[in-house]
Amino acid sequence: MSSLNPAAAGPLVGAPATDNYLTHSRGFWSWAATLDHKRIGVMYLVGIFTMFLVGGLFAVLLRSVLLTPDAAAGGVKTIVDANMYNRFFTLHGAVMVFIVIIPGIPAALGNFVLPLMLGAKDVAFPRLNLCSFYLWLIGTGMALSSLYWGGVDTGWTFYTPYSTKVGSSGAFGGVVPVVAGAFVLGFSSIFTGLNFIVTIHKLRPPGMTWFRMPLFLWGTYATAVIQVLATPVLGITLLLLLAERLLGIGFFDSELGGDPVLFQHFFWFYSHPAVYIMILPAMGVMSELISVFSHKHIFGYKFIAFSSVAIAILGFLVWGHHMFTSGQSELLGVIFSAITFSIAIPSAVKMFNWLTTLYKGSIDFKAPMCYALSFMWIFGIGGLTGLFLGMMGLDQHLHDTYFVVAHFHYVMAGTIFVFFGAIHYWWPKMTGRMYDEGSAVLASILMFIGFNLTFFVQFMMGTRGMPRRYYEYRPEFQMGHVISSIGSYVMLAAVLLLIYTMIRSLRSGRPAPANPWGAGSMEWQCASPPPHDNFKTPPPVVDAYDYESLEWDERVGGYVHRGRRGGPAAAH
Amino acid sequence: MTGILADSLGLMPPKASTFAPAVDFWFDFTLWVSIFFFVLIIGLMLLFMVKYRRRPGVRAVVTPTHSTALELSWTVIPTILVVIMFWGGFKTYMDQRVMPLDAYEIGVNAKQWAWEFTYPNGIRHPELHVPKDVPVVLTMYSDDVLHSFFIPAFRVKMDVMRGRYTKLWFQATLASPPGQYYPVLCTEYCGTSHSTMTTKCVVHETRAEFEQWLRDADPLKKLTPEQYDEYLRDPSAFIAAHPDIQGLQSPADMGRKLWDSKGCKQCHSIDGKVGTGPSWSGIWGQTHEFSNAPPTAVDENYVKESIVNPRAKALKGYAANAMPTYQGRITDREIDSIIAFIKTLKSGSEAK
Amino acid sequence: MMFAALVPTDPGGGSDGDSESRRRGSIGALGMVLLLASLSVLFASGIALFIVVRLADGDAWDPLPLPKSIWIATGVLLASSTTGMAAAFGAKRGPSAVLIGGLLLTALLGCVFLALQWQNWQELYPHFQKAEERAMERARALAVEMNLEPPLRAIPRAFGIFYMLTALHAAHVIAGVVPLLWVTVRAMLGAYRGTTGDGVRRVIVYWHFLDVMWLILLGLLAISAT
Repeated sequence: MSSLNPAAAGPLVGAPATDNYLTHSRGFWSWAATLDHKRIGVMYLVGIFTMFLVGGLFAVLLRSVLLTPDAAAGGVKTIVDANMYNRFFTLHGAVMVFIVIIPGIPAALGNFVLPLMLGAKDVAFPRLNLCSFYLWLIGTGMALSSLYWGGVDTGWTFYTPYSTKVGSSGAFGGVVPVVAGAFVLGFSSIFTGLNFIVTIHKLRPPGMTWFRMPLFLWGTYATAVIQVLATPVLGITLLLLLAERLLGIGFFDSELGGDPVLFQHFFWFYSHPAVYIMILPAMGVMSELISVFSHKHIFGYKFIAFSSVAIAILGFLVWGHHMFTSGQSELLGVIFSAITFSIAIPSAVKMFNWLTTLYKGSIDFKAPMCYALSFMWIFGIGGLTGLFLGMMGLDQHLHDTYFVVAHFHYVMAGTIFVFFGAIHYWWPKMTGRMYDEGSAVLASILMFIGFNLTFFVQFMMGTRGMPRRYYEYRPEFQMGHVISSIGSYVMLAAVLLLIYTMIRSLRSGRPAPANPWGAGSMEWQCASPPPHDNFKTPPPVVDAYDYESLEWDERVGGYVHRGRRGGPAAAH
Repeated sequence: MTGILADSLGLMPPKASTFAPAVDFWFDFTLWVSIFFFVLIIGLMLLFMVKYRRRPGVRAVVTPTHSTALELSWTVIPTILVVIMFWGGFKTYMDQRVMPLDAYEIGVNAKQWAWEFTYPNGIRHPELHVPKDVPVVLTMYSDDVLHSFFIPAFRVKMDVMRGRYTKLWFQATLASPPGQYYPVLCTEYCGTSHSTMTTKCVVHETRAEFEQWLRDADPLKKLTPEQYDEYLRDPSAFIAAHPDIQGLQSPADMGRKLWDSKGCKQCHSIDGKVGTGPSWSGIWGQTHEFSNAPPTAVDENYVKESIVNPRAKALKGYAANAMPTYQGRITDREIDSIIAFIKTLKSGSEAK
Repeated sequence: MMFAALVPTDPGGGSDGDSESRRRGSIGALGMVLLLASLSVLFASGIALFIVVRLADGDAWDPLPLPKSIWIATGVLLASSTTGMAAAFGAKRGPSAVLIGGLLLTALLGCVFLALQWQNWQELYPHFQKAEERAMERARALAVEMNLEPPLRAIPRAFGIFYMLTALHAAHVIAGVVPLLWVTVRAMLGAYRGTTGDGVRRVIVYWHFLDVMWLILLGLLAISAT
């Protein structure tokens, strides 16, 4: 397919035009035992997207259950009882957090893109990379196997003593496999992070200085640091949980002299930074999308880069804001609240920089950009509502209500928007095929409408006092729940349309040029799809956000460097 | 200090405590700030989307890629605003968390999946009743997993756990209309019926009205003399036959709770340990010797006399004046419960 | 086990052998640093928990009679670090007797350490059982007072955390013996000829790390016992 692609076949790339990473070798083992970061990335993407559908179906089911206030009022509640509902929201949370969003952008797209963007041949430790993928697979399998063991109904936070004493049926129950699965997934996450840090430090080609790196790499780098340094704490926490549940060591059980709040400290010490594991790569992708589709240099590069690092560091120091009503000491609460507010600043800085990038640009409403602009809206709301929750006095009222549910969906599910944007953005590079803009944009608009319909009303329900994780609720909230559920159906339709678009692209999409969007970063300098070993010689390093030399070429159907058309690259 | 925006949009539940105006004010403040920034960012974004949409032949204008002045301004201005918000949240929080000294104290017990409130007179009741304009401190304890006590109308919430007491206070400012109540909710996930672990909070207009309710809340008081006899003959059958009378338990269970709540346990152990007073363990039927009266077996009349007139008989080996009289502080039916409880305490049965 | 996966990618390019191997060495070294950083956080959080629990328990802490052979085990581990250093030194000169002998001795001493640890755990077990009975009694008494069901099992926390932390450490020792044997076999087969012996050095660095962690753990256990 890339033979149709003269720009990519130029001597700059040097790979035979017919050979790419997809066609380089064939057969099951050529994928299952591959060390190629691109193939590992694609396998991750397929796996994570599948699990997203599983988690999403749980969510749609939950929303359907919540259409009526109680079983007496009929509806799905006559089929799904409270125990099933509790199991479904637990799995929805655990799947989405540990299996989908945390590895989502870094492991799937980061794996594919990071070495290409850097101009490297692969990540630093390809075997470790494959090992991460298999750990992800094993962890996911373990977590899902809990369904066989009777399900798990602790909520994804596994709060003790519920998770150690009661939880599901039996001493083993579904809690053990899910917790063990999350433990294994933690290893996967650590190895991915370790790999990315070393890759960025050591495999940058000559000329690729730290401040020439695309901002996605800064976001991924900051994420990787959190992955390496925070995830072990989750490991210990989950080990303790298992030891307590299976052996009866009383760390958290007050009956044995333990303290349930201790578990919360340990759990959130990881799980709050985990929020930044989810959002930082998304912010990195945002910087790429906003700049590329405005065809304009990113504004305030260094501020965006350093704000990622600032968020990563401060993210370690705010875990206690999940515990303002937990009985931790008041002094601790005050400190956590203060640091929590300080983390709002770097997030705001990013928003303003993206906005300024749009100014006087040439904004192209392709599907990735539609998702990126949606994220501005969604993260705007998600970030601002975080202020309410950071205020200790207000949190006394809002904690553990739908306000919190809406807030973290606006932040964490906001990253799903960027994830989708990124899938569309790098789709031509991954598959060598273009997708149909019309249906992709329609899906993004549906997604945006559905999302806001689902979650905005939950802010209002929360302030009125609708607690989270409720199976039954007072009838005054029914209207809100119905609106929310309708929104979830709209999102379901959007996801189905997205899948349809992608399948159609795979079957009959127009072959993709090397650079369909006019992006400046290096992955667009090799063919679509990239050859097996990316770059025969390290490509010349250019300013990733300089669009002045990029021009649309009708013959290619993509962008080419001015003066490079069909010939060797202009020196830079 | 109230929340104009929150009120007009109907975002908040009724303001029924002294915290509500402050919480709503800061909610409003943050809401205004949020709306300002959201409109600013999204407004500009929409403007740029229209104005700078891609048009054939028009390239993006190269503008400066960096401006320290701009960066500093959008770093400093939000910083000032969040400092104000932090201060507001801190102030409100401190009001919520510093317990008043001379408050009315109610005990809260949480278990899967019910609330129970213990009032100072020892009455346990599944509903929370409080007088208006009186500071109330709740001392909370859970029998099992974590729960969280939440009254939206009061803007208060606190986790309830086992192994540690947590406290929460409020002062209601708005009596609940007759027949209505403020919902009390559990907001920490606690298992199957988490969502039905709710109850009512009734705010009485006057202290007198509240005290009246409290006197009437004694479930034994609701029984007619005939019902009471029936109850004494077979408590469990009676409880099963009268599900409408809430709070009824077998006399022995009730007696155990009274032992716990009326202060008996300060001096009388139930495991055989000698305290200020004799242990109740195995005491039933024993013969006691007194310094001022002939020996008597421990029976109904002796127990009742010891409660209402403890100095009538001075038990040898114990201080004669240690026990205060409970005359007027305990009903006959409660004494019956305590007797029933003592009867269940076989010698040494609780020691192991 | 993860060391096998810590084999750096071939960065390609036409760079010559010497600078190439130095480059690969520095990639592996950074990977090692990050791995150790991550493991340090793992142990640090375990130790943090230990300190929190110890302080919270105060006088209720069960006395933990450290077996005598725990000091012998410590000596063995320290000795293995010395032989490891010798092996790393030997690695500079290719597959020498110092390298192979040092590696073999280190792996052997690692196994002896594990065996001694096993012995320590067994020696402590009767004390543990007694303490468990006491803990169970306390929990039952509390349950009676609170009118609740007593717990099924009550493991005294002092012992629980001792077993947990030492087992965590032992697991990492096992995860060190395996790559040690791996590099030994490779050295015997003549690898590391004309190299700087980076692979060997990384394994030894990890070994030193385990040593340091053990000393910290042992120090804490010894202090807390009194």
